[in-house]
Amino acid sequence: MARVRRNVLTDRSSLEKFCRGVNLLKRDFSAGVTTKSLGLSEMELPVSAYDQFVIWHYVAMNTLTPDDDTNTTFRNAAHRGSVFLPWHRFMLLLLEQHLQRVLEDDTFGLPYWDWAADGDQPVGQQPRLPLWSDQGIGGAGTPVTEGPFGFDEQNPDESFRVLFFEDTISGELSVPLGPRGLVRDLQRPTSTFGLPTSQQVLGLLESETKYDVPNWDVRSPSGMRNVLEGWLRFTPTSPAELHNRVHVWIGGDMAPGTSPNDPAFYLNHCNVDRIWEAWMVRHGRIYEPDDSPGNPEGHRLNDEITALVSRLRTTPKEMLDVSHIYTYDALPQPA
Amino acid sequence: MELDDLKKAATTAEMAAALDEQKESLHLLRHPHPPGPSIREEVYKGHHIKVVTTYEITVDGRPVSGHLSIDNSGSVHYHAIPNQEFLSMIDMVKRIIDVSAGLGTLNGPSGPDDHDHGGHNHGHGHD
Repeated sequence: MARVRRNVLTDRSSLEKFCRGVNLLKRDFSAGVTTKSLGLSEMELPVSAYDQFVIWHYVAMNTLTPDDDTNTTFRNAAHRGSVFLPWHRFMLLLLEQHLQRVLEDDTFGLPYWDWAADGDQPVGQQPRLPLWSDQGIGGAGTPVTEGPFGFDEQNPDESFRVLFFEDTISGELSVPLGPRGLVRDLQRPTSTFGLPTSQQVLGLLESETKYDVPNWDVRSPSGMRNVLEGWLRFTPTSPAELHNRVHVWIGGDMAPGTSPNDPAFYLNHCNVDRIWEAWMVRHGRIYEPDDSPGNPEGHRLNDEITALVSRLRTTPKEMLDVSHIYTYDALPQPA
Repeated sequence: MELDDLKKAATTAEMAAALDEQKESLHLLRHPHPPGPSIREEVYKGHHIKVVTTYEITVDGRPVSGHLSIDNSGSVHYHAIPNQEFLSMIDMVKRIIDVSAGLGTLNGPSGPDDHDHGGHNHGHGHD
């Protein structure tokens, strides 16, 4: 029977299992991977199973597709192009499976955060909603000190810690100068922009009938993928929309290419995946671009998607219907 | 994809094997896509326009050296903060400063090499 993915805002059990599983993966060094084996350091610092997903995301983001002068919009192996949704679906499937492994629970379904429900609340209240409490996933902080991913400077070895992150000045992968916890802004103080709203999600499901359109990148003028990824702005002054808005709103470690450092990354992407699923239920399990040679390599229907955490391979086509593996408890649908 | 394939794929032995198999891609960890000129091209009334732009950006004298691109509308994308685009280069650098201050990278570089040889306390207590 397919596992069921539920909303962390309404299903306490899913939230607790997710937090426990993430902390177990963060302490799982049984793969024997070290910073030395990754070529990052001469020191043999162990790299957890959780942190290998961070590495995978960073590498994919720096893999240009194609890697030549025609790629003027920096389309990469996981973002800024059509493969954005199937690539992250594959990532979530592998993480979910590893969470089942460490939880020893083959019924566990990765939970999603219905951020649009929080986005419907007054903007000023959003950073104080229950998800960001110590009973949720902790709140803002440099570092976050409360909740299941909090950092205790008196006890750094037992704390949730960031092993490496993208230095936003140099663009290079960096190791913190000392033990450091997770950083979150939660709606920068000067920002008047809140989380995406239900109206925006329902509008996307209703109005976008194509999965994606040429040139299959961030400049695509319409298409569900580019709207959901967040490149098509609803208002000209907006910093970003939908998926992108959530990254920007949380800020801190959710801002650079090492954003899976924050477990909120998976709650965000699971909701993005749920919206994609809702769109396919409404409009059909269709994907573009097809395999024509002129379409961008790495983003076509049958192009291979590789993982840095497994030798399993997939394709966008194979990711279109995985309902035999998981389903969602509820999908957003316009009336 | 079958569930059994997924189960077999989600082991730590599989993780180690995957990294070993894809060693060639790991160079991106140390040498991400280098900064280069931003190239904009368009054909207008049969004429080919090409604009090649390079920028020199510093914060407190430190080069901002991640990859940067500008599209034909003038929108700027800085790859190290990948979820945003900016209409103003100054606004982009302000955002880089905001994020970098939070992540603790404004007061000096912390690349793996500097770290290894600089005598800092790693404090990684996994072992």
